[in-house]
Amino acid sequence: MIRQSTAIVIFLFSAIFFLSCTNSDDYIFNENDATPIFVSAYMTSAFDPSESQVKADTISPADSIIFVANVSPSKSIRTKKYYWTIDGDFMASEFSFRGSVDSPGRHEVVFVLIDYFGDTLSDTLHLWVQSPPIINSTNVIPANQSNGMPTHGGVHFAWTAYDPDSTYELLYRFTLKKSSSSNSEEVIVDTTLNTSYFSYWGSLDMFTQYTWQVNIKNEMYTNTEELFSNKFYTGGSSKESALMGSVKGHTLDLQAFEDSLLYIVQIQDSLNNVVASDSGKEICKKYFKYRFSPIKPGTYTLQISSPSHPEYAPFKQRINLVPNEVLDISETELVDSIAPSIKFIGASTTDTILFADTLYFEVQDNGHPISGNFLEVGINGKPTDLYSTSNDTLMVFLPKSKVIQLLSIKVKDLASNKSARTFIVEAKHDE
Amino acid sequence: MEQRNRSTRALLHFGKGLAALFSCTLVAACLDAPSYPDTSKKIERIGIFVSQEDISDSTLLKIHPSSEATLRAEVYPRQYKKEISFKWYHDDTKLGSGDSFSIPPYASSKEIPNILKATDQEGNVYKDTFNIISNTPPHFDEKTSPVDNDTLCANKRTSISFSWNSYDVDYSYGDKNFYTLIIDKEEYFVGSLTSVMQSGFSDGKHSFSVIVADSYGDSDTLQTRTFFISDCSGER
Repeated sequence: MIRQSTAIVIFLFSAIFFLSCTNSDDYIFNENDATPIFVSAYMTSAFDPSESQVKADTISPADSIIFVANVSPSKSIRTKKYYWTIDGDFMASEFSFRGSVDSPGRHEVVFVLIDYFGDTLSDTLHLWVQSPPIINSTNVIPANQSNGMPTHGGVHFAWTAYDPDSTYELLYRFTLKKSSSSNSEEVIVDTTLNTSYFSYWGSLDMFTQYTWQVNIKNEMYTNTEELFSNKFYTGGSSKESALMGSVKGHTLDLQAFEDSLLYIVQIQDSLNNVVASDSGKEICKKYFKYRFSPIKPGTYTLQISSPSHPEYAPFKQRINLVPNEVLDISETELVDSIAPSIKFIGASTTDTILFADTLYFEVQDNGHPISGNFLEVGINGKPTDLYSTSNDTLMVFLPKSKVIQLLSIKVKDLASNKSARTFIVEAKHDE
Repeated sequence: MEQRNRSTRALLHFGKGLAALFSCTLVAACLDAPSYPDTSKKIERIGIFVSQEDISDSTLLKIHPSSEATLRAEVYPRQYKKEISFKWYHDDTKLGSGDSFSIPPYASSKEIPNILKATDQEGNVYKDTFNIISNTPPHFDEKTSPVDNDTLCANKRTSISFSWNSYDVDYSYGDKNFYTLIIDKEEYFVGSLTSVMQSGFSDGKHSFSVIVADSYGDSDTLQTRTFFISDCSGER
């Protein structure tokens, strides 16, 4: 009996001890003890707290937006990862970042957080990127390069534009500029319109190039992607015409010359008599603009040359000047098409020359010296650096030899025109 | 005992009489009770129509100011029209009565009704506010440049003048005309411009036309003009 009682007491003690050790209540999930995690996202234009924080917005393609994510109770909770997506594609992996969305249309920006337990939490923002207005550049009046436009009585312009989002009113900034022989343009009209047509009632100069431009913006101040720009030419009289254009030298060559190129532009009749002539230097080493107005209509030859640089081949073109019109040759480029020359300075006029310690050669590009970087000198087929240059003179220092030596000189100019000569240097026999 | 029976009998008679009187009063009261008002809708709608010269029964409510026009009210179902009286108003000013109203030529806006009041025999009033647009469609002048079948000496750079004109008697009342120029089937909205210059024409046959629309959507189309381009500059 005593044994049984003792056993019961021991069992009870054991049970109590076991229960007190395990304290299993601590392992039962208690909802009240859990801290819920929330994520929220918003957009703003600045980190300033006074800036509005929105979950949906309409923006222009170039707008900069700050995307901000908040995590409750704290961003420092244990997470597996967090990131932003736009229309399902990865966007960023920061809580807050500045970005822009360029693609027009509706976009869904989602902040996603995967917590320590693998639960996914997210918040979604809605973004509408409006499309820029579009101008139909072919559906305009007057068409580009129109000629014979009136100088009095009004010039009328009309264009077609629309906004793909279709809800915005369009505003048109219309400018009319007069081109001059210098690089500058004189602004004649600069106005903002709410109609897609405009009449300019002022007078214009005869036989002159004008540029008209339209920049379209909608109510969100989003401009067309490209400024629309067209040219037209005014007329004069039915017994007159005009010619205009510009000329420039080959771009690479220009870098080599400190001075601007001088050009002569001539108009010659069928008997090669010069009817009109103009000359001048390039403006800012870019181009020279010429203009002949008025000039009798007819068929002529236009010739452009650069007397200071004869290596530039003259430009020749047959032109037909139509009454009441300006012929715009646009841009002419004179090209250096003549190769440099290599001449031995000495008694020999052939390729065979007598040995000398130093041989002199004249290497030039139609009067202009050649840079050493464009020279190659070789002796018996092997390149050598036994030479030096001074202006247009090349000096080759030959080693003594009892046999004939082959001296090769290769040269190219800035336009990559090449010349090459090989001289036979007779052996020097000791006297 | 007999006296007691008499009293009982008299009391019974009185009771019967009272019951009869109550019943009669009840019946009379029941007979005098008004029936429920008839709430069924007899008239479904009232419409206004315009008739003028070539136009009849138009619901667009547009008239030309140059000739007499008639407004007519119509009731549906039609059999109830006799039970309705009509009065035509311009704002608060009564202009006339009857199911139709005549608008004289060149009537001022105050002479054109904008309210119709329809009254039934019970005195119920239905008020309809409407707006009659008095507008004359624009009409093209036949004179254009280029004229039909014209031949022009031009190259692709040459600007050719296109001009046209239309007239609209409502112009002085603020109506505006807007044009769409169609050159070789290409449409150019040119707003209120009536002349433009355009280039880019190759040798051969070309055509142009113009559509004019006024502020009220009335329009006219210029009959297509054909013109021919010949490059006589000697460039060919």
